[in-house]
Amino acid sequence: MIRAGDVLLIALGVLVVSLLATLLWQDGEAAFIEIRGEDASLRHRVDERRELRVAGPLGETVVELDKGRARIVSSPCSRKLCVRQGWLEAPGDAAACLPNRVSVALIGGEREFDAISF
Amino acid sequence: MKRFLLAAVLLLAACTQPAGPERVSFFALGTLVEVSVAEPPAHAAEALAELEALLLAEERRWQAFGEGELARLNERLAAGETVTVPAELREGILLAAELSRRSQGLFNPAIGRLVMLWGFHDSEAMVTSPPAAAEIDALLPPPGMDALVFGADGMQSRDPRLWLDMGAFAKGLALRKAAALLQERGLGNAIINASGDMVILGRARDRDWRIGIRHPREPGVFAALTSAGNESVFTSGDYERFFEYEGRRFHHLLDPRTGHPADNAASVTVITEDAALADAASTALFVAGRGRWAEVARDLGVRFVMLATANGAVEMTPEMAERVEFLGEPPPVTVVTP
Amino acid sequence: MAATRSSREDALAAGFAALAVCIHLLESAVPMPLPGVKPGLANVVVLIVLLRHGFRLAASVALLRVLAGAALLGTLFTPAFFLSLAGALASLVAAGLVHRAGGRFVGPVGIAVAMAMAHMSGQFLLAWQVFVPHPALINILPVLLAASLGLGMLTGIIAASVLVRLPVPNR
Repeated sequence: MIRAGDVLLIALGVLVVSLLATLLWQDGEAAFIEIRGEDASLRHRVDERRELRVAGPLGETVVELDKGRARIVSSPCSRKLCVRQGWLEAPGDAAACLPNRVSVALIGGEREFDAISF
Repeated sequence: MKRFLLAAVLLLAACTQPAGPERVSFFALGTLVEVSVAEPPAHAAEALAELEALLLAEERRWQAFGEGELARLNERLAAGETVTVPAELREGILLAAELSRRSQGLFNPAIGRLVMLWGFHDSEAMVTSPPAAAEIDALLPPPGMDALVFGADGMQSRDPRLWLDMGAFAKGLALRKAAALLQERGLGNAIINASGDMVILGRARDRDWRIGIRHPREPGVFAALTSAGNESVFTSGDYERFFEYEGRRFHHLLDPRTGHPADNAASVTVITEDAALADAASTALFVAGRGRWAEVARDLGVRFVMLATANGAVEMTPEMAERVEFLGEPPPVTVVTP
Repeated sequence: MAATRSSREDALAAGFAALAVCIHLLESAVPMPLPGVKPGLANVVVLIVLLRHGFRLAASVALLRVLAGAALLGTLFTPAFFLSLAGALASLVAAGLVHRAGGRFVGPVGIAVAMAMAHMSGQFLLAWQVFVPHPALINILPVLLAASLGLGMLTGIIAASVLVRLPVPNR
């Protein structure tokens, strides 16, 4: 009753549904980190431990990624306020090294606030 | 058709991920500026580029040290000269003088030399220990905006120690202009957020804007409110710029009366229509501190104020208490009527 | 001979369409997340006609079903009608393509799955673009498509069972 082509079509159907579901249904957890430097900006998934380096006018800012979170580990600025901020964990959390012109933000999922005052 | 829409709407209530506003960010005003536009018209990109240029120009204009116009002005004032105030600086300086008076000198942009002593005038200055007491004493009582005399041939300072540092005010002035620009260009529903100090215009698409206020010590937002524009939300905090020495924290919000960082608050949030007023007020009220801020708030005419201490205790005006919702465990709140 | 065949075809079309309309009417009683969007069970009939009598007749039946069904339900030229039409056209195209391209390798189940998913997609697209253009509506699409995948397999199995039992057609 079920032929080879049928199985293929069903598999295709399942693939389409799961692709759509994953693409559309990102919510809650941060999925990406967005890093902006003076000339470049890049996006990276935050799903495993890794280190990213961003060049700025003062030198290299090092950003550490982990599952669903990120933080600035080191930066050539003098105050190190960016490093002190520690782990960014929720979508929308951000840190920036202003002297080195680097900003780091977690994105993905529903943004709870349009803007945060601090 | 109605049944259709109703069912769709009910279903949507369970859906996540509403369409969000368009967001751009760039470096200006010495910080990261984020602009969110609710329903960007076709020419939005151009308008935002203009906005960025405006903010960069404002940043350059108000630089208190270095090569800029204001620095030049300061040098000449200190030398006792009578100066003609350049047109672009005049409005800001006059407004600053007015607000300084109304805040009983708690907001005082004339203490530039004090700021420099502590190293907070430049984000790269490497000051790691408090300045010597003698150096601070030399600047007390502080030069005030009332030392400025405006005559027929220009402006003069009666106090050679006076040095105008508009760091606590430039952002407000700039954002006020930025807001006017966006409205002129037809982007009347937007937020311009310069790292925690913002101007809010109009509403987000179909709803009010959601604004969060960060806890002064813990990560994350501890208070939330909504805004239907047009108003400014400015927060002064002791965690923004500081250095640590022998276990103590020294931050950039100096009390002009003592020459030291004010230590009667961890953060102050002010909401009022004018951005320049919001900027000056958040500084002045921070310096005033717990138990003292209410009178100054009244004199400045700001109705929405929230002061938070390091352990998260909160003092606020009744109007602010109506607007703000605390997330998680509610902190001890004192409502103070100015 | 040609005239007889044509009138035979009409009769067949009418008969099948009637059956399809019945199923369509019954379907209207089934509550759906997006009103007007149908599971498309009437496609069983279209599928059987396709495999027994060819594409042209299947197309006639499908379109007749939409028109007659709407006329009977009193929904001609309403949003529900257009949704029905969108679904029917989309599933027809899918059915034709899959049948043509797949040849021996696809049977009723595969075609039915393609038809069902196309049917749902067609309806959803129309609903989303024209009737309820809220951007967040796209979030229910995976659910709708998953359901149509399942229903498609079901209709395919039903169609296959029926086809086995029907006498060989007089072509």
